[in-house]
Amino acid sequence: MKEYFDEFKEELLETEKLLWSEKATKVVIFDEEFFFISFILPLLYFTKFLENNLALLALALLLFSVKFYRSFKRRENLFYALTNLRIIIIKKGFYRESINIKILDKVAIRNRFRDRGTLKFYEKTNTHGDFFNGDFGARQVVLPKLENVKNVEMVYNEILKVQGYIK
Amino acid sequence: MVDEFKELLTEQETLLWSGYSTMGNYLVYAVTNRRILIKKYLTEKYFKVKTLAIKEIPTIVLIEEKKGVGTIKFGGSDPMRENSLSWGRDATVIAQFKSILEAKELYRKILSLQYGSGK
Repeated sequence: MKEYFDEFKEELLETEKLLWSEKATKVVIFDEEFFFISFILPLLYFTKFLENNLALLALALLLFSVKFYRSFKRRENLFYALTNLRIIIIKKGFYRESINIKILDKVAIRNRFRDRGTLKFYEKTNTHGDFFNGDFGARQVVLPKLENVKNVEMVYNEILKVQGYIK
Repeated sequence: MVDEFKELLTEQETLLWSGYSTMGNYLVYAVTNRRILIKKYLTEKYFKVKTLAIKEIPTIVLIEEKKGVGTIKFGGSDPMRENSLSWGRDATVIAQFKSILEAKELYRKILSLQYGSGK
């Protein structure tokens, strides 16, 4: 559970303890790629009814390749951790992210497959507008998710313990 | 830069840090023991202010650039997250300190304030 401690050592605060950590898997089939495949496959099927369809087929394959490559790169060198205070996501050499789980409204498991699943987080309020960029209306804040986590139920329960919902 | 924010602080508040974007776009930033503040100058005299309570911010992201410069984003998804077929800007960032000096140190300071070990 704590095998990636070195990745998070520098990030931890004085009173913080690492409870769980994992390296993100690069390929996640039961997520956005699944829906994209669902779009591309019918498109490829219907191209056989069109004449001179090579350009369309090539475009479809190109879009799929770009999408797949971007998802793959996004999850490269990506690490997740749960501490007694928060969730940390680190993409080595790019960014580090801290999620304040104690103020979140809900945590949910999605895209379950055997012992794996995606943990999604939901905020209590969603009334933030992007004031400085001319948007004065409310906008849903999309929070990060932990994708394709192993032993997802165990991690989910650990999060609930940190939030104080279970002992 | 204390004068920039003097009139915006409450009685229980202490200014811990203030700075500006190295991109020079009329934005001045501050961190107090309770909030983050962003002041955007529209003209020499007129400005807008945005504040966030540190303990209520759901996510804080540090994007490290070169030579200690970095961007700290508050609220919302990670910066490299693709939004299905959306290629536009991240619509879920509530506020950010863009291209500031010593961003990493400030990021840790804000986290300490958020989780109670900061002063």
